[in-house]
Amino acid sequence: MGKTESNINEKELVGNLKSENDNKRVSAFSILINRYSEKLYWHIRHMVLIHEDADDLLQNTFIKAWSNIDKFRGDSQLSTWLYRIATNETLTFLAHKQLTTVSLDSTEGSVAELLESDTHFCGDHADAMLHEAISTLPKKQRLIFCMRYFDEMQYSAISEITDTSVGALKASYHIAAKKIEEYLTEND
Amino acid sequence: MNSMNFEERKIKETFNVPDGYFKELHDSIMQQLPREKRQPIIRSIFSKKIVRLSYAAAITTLIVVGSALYYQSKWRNDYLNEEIIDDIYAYSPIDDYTFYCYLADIE
Repeated sequence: MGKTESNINEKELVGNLKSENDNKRVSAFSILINRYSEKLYWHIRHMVLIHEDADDLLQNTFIKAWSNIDKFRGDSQLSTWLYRIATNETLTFLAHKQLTTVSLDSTEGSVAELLESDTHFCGDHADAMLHEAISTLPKKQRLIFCMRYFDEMQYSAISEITDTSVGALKASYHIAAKKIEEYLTEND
Repeated sequence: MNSMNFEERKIKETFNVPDGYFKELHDSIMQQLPREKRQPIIRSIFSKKIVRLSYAAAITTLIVVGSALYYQSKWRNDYLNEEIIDDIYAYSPIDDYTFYCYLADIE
């Protein structure tokens, strides 16, 4: 009897993903999507805020993972590798968006207003203001803040994904929290 | 939100997704996967490891062969020199002192 989705361990999953048997590969990838899609979705969504953007980036993440699975050497966990791809995709998207959007304030209204009119946002005004404050942070700082605050990840895990020392991450989170606090005070 | 307590505030999810999103996402990604025929991995004989080993083997061979040739040649020179000197000494019509001067390069 074949192993079910829930009890196949990571080593076996990676082995199947790299298999020359197409059926094995496809079935292993299906397990991979079921196992990690939600976590990766929320990781991306907290950074980009809009569902449609998060959806596109998540699909790109999985397609890249499929095409590059042979490059996964097993030095890190599969989840860390996927988070790295998702993070790179997201940061590239944000950098591109920053270049193509002159200013959110002048063209589309504030981030808080944008969120409050979004059907996929269920928070209140205070939540929208928090996201607006977070969106003012530099990209890397925003990434670290979101991974810690929303995804509740350990610094050691964030360190592996972002290739940054734990000390630097703690400092970055502290600075980000301070900036958010100041932003919320000013815009209270 | 009180600006001072956002960190203490219980984190709640403020976003949602369309109904059945994750199921549809799974199917959508599976349909998009490029299904090109996977080629078996062929390891080139010129892989880095093999090239490095070949270099090491070539250098070792050079050192061994070079040393062997050097010592063989040295031994032969020493042997021949002694042989020639013995012949000269035995058959030449010169006395010991002249022969000493010849070897010591004395005028």
